[in-house]
Amino acid sequence: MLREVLRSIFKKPATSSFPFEDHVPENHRGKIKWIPEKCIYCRLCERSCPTGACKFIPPKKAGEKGTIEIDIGKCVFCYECVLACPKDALEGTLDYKLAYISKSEKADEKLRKKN
Amino acid sequence: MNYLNLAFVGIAAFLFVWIERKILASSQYRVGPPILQPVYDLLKLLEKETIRNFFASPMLPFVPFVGLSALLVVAAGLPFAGIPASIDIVTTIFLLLLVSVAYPIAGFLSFSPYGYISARRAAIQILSYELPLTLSIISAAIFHQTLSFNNLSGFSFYLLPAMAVFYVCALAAMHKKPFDVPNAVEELVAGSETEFSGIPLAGFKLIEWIEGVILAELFFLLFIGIPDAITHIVSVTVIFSSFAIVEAVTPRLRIDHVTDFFIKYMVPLSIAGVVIACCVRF
Amino acid sequence: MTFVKKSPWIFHLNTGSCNGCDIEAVACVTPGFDIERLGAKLVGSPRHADIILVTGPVNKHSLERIKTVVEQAPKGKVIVGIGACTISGGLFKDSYNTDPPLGKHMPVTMYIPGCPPKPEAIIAGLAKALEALK
Repeated sequence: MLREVLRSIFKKPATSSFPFEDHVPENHRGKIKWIPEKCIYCRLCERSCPTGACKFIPPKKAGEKGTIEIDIGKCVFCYECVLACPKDALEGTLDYKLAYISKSEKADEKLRKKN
Repeated sequence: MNYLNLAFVGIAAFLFVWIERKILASSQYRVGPPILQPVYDLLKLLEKETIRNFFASPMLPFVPFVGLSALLVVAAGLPFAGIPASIDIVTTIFLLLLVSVAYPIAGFLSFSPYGYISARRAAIQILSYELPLTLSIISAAIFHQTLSFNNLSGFSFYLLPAMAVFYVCALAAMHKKPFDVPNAVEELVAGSETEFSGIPLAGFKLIEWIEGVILAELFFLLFIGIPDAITHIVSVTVIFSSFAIVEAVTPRLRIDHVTDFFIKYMVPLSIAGVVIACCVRF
Repeated sequence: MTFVKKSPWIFHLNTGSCNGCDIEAVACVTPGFDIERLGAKLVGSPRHADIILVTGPVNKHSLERIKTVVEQAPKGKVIVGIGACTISGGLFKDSYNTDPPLGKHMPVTMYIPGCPPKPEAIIAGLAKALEALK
């Protein structure tokens, strides 16, 4: 083991250069994006969500369409909603840097539900 | 009062701990911390508050400074680059014992089960390694026929058993692997230092760092003894790096294995070292 | 000028999680994502800690102990909740013995969503929390 240690002092370290470079694999499951133009409001995504993160907000006035909100605090990134959507209106992105500073309960919720 | 040696020990304490962390990191295929990291650690600890524990003794925050002052007295007394020593071998042995005793005292005084277990194990370790350490220093003193650090005559093959014993006992005195038990007792709850924070914790970290330099310097002075300043600095660095490489390679021994090892192997070897030194000189 | 940004010491606390977030948090000190080059270190006692990383939906049985442990850290600490369980209970939100979110019981500085978040996400989040610490 001494030989291994002495040899490793002269080899390159195995550390990834994370804060300076980003290596994300292509099929990484990041934040889910909703595309309003393709959505037909069937609410299949809301039914398939195991934690209740995906919610349909009904329109306030007549003639408007509602919105689909995904709360990233409740989301477990299982991508069931992406698989369930018949029109591909939900799309997975590679965004994983989702940390936020907590201010108050309401402000945090609004921040988490932003598309 | 050797200001040069104090300055050397002060600067070397921060540099050597960086060298140790870099060697450990590169043996694990990692990049280690930047070079000023020990300085940042110390300055950050000085900013934190000292939490007063209601159940522990009120003398608790002062315990590490007793050990630290003993170390600084030794550091100010050792010779360096032509300035003669103002401390002798016997006083050094006693002051080093005082430094080691700071860990069990801190563990017993803090009202915490982790501190208590760590203090008992540290006390057992002190009982195991003090006898061989003292005997190896005494055999060096008999060989060089002097009790002061001035004019020590240098390397000799008759001193090899004493060198080996001193090296292993120095690892035990600094709580480095393989004799790591008091320091990382449940490997996650910090042993004797559990109830410390802020400036007393900085005191403990300084004891750890400076003790490494002092023991490497003692090894150099007693067994290699070339009085030149550059050789002094380079040799002390090489000796400390070898401590770090041994630390990277060995696992931690259990406390009963530690006592076993010292009593079965180190005590006879150190007695053999004394006998050889006596036979050579008388 | 505070030196906590240069040498944050991290204490890791599990309040009953499934251990996914724990594995990702401890993966930060492995050779792949070495945070020691940024000065951070995983430390054993809460009294030595500057940042407390909490994982798991808050288990009702261990709530008192969690509060005691967090109180033992010295002033100026940053509490970071990792994973969807600390924010809203995640998959365990309707369970009979969890009490999410973490912010109900102690002042949390930052949350890192994800199930579990990648180690890179944890490191980026910690850097952001230290900026806000000042």
